[in-house]
Amino acid sequence: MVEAFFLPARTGVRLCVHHRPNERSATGRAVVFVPPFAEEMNKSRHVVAQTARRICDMGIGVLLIDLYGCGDSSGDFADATWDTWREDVALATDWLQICGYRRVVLWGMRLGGLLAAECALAAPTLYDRCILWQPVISGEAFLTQFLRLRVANAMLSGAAAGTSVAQLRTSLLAGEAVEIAGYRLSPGLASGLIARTLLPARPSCPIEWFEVVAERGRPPAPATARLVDEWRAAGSTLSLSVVEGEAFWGTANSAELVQCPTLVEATALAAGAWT
Amino acid sequence: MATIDRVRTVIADVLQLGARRDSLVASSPLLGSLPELDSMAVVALITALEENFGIVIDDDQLDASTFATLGSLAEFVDQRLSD
Repeated sequence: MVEAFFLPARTGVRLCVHHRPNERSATGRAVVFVPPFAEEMNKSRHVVAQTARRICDMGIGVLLIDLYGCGDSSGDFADATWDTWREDVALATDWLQICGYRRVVLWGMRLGGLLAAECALAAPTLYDRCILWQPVISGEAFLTQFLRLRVANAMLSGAAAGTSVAQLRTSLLAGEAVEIAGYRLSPGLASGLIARTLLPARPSCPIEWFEVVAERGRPPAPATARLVDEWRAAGSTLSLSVVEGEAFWGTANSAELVQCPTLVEATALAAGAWT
Repeated sequence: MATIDRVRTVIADVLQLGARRDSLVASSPLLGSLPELDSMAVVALITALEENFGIVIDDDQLDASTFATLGSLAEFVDQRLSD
């Protein structure tokens, strides 16, 4: 059963979608999904929903939450901060526990993966495991890519030399918000992103990491492979699954949603093996 | 593998060109000709080129002419490689 509701938070409410397993199959375990950033969230909802249904069919609850200032939750994107989003993840976790779920899994995608890892690290005994979908490894590099959207838009519209990424960064550091592809990015959120990298945010719970590559048999990106090795060397229980598919969260054709059945399947398969 | 072949692979991956990949030659127009090449795709392409070639692309160096053809983009990457 799927229920949508508004969960009261410290400021306003958050839109949540709860995939509740039927009582006979319920395992007492639930997953909190931590969404990706800005447009990537809109590009991913369908794949996430498919996966949530598959996981729920196995008796595992799933809670999808729109973070502050995103989707249909309260607040403006311009007022969102990294810390508010961390509070939202904690809020979702609390709600699942109040619902009676005994074990909670974090499932983060892209920037949400970085956020989820940090939340899991901060609360080492709270989470059962951490699923990462193509997590962002460097918040700073991610910010650069986001700022580039504006440069690319200017280039495509044939505008004369637009604002460069360096200029946008200077504005942000000077305390000015900047508008990128319809999203107003605050200096606070930008500095939050710059300060984040995945490497030190190593959760102590088991980690299930999923990467999508363009062609079967290709290795994951070098930065991913390096980080996986470092986490393993530091003692992580980590399984890395590399699946063939399209990068559906950042797909080229704006109007079109892209499927990724291999990722849905691999994730459902992993969830089915949780004991 | 020559730069142009590697750039072709990166473009085909990012834009999911499938079999159309094989028809891309140095003079093939990119920007304005490939409908997939919107702003998100341009950003994804720049990022993929940085990762694949281990280069850093300064946005001040970018303009539409860089993405005019496969050949112009490969030439741009070659310049960054020799920087």
